[in-house]
Amino acid sequence: MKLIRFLGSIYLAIFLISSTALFVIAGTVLESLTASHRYAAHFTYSNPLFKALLWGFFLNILISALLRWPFRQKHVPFLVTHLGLLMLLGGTLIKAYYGTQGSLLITEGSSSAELLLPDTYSIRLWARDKRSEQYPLSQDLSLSVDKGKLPEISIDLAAYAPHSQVSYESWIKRDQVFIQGLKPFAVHPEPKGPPFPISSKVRLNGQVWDLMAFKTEESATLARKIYQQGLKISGEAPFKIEVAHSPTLLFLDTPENVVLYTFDKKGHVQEELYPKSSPKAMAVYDQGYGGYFSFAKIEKETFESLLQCRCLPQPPSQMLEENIPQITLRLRNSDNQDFITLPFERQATGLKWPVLKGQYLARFQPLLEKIPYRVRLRQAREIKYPHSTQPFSYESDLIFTELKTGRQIEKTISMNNVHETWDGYRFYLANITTGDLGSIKKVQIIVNRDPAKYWLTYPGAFFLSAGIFLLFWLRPYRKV
Amino acid sequence: MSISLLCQRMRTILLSLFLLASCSQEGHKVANSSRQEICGREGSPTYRADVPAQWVRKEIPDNKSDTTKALCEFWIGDSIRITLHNFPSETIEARVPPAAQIARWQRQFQELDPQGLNITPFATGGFAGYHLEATGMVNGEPETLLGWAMQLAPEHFRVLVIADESSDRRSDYTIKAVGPADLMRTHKQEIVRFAKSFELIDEIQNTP
Repeated sequence: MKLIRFLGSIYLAIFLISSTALFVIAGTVLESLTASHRYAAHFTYSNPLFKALLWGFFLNILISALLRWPFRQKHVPFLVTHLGLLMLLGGTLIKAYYGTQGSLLITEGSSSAELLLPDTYSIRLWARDKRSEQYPLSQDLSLSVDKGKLPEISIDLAAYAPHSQVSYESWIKRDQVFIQGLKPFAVHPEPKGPPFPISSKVRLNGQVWDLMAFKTEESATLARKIYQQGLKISGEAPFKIEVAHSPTLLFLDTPENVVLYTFDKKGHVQEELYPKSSPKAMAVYDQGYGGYFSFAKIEKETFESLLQCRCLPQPPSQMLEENIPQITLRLRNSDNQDFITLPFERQATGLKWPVLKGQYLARFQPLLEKIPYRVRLRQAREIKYPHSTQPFSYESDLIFTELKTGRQIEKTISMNNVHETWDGYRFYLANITTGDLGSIKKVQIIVNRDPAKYWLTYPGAFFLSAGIFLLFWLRPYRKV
Repeated sequence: MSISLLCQRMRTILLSLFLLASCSQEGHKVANSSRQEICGREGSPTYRADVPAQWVRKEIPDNKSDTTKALCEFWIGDSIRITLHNFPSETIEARVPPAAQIARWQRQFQELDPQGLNITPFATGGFAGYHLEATGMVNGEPETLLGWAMQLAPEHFRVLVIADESSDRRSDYTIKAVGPADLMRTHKQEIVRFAKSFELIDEIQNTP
């Protein structure tokens, strides 16, 4: 009985309120120190102790109300208030365990019916025959390999790094240049001066082309030096300039890009930039199952090089939002075994990489959850104050299609104007990538569903308000 | 009950009502219009738009391979003509830039009123381009042109090429409305609403 009295006591209530306050303070301090909401949430609001506090509040309020037994008329406001609090807490707990929270990323003209769940990892595989399956990877790195729709495949997690530097390699891999159909040739370190070594030669339209490749910090300066070396200047002013070199294909490997220069026989120069941070326009074979290739058109010939993703493990940052985890998987089916390293694609929009000799595609991405609505974005816009560049509001014209019935609803949502469906899904406009005027836009829509909202949370708020109202109205504990 | 207690209770009621009050906005619908489907060059329904009830639709024969012919036309009375074109292309480089269409439309005026000329970037339904509003003289009469020259976003174009979908779906399109300046002023809003509602029937896959 002593324990029950303590559970319903004001002392436990004070302890719980103080502990919650400490959690909130810790969350605020951690977030300001690390500038990372996820880091702070990991130690505070998402911590099991915080959920235990909620359960503590629930028990404390329930028992303190029951301890008033036998109830009398003057207890009514107190009991109604506590019933409201219990319903609110119950709603919060049910939402935490069974609710839905995620985001939809939609580009104008397209649609989505799959939520990206925050702070989750999964491996998604696609087979050529349109089957696909996602394999959840928990925070403690256990891979849940339910055979699902691809029973012929087995997957093992071979390695994991919490953060990595991701780059895309095509023409130059390590210290060699790779061109489809040609023998790989060497990339030389930055030359001090002429003569510049030639790595290889290739015949193109009856002409022999020199192939050169160097590492450098300054691509334009080195390219100019190499180009000028091949010019022959003779006579007095006005000088006669002749192109004396063979046509040249020059690959320059800078820290950020691979730059491809073409010097033809007539002295024309062509420059193409291939950024390492994101793949440029590429050739896609067999919808990705045949791989991705960077390409360059030279003298009516197309040169191609296989595009690969390179992940280098890095020390993780405390700002968890900036970390890009990587995983290495071993995949097997009856015929083949394959290892692949994949970077985490936070928005699940990056390239799907071919595995097991192009029989499947794979991507490391957040878990996706289907919702019973397909949301199509017709137009997103930023509305500015008149005669100003200051944004006043953001709006999106959406078409919601209920998948079960096919019923469509058109709705414009904005920052403070959400759309709520009859079954409790709420759609909030969270973000618009503005881009250039007239370019298409992408929106992030936060979707949440609180399963207990209508029968616990909202009635709970009503009972709480009514209880407080009755406390003021009836003043049951006033001294006469 | 004392007056002060009554006032106190009234204050509580008002406060509660204020706290419980909320506002909501309903989506608005366009009255007197119907959603119509429009076929592409391959003959299957490709686009849809909200068309006002009083507009008269006219189909164009033999327009399958000739992109100088419209997909279809709409008439408001006898004087305002709204034409829809699309321009299928196999490669992204082969497309005509929207700015070139806008420049061509401007050249159709014998005399252009600089004050009545307005070119604004515009994007909807996955297409981006320009909206032209121009007033000037055509055959000695003041006419207004409202036009939209729209190009499918490169990311969508790539997705449709990879998915091997019909070239109609990755076509650029134009909407051009021409008519007497005074009548065009009267019908401007419904033409703009029509252009804003114009979109592909089936959305484009969200991710490549």
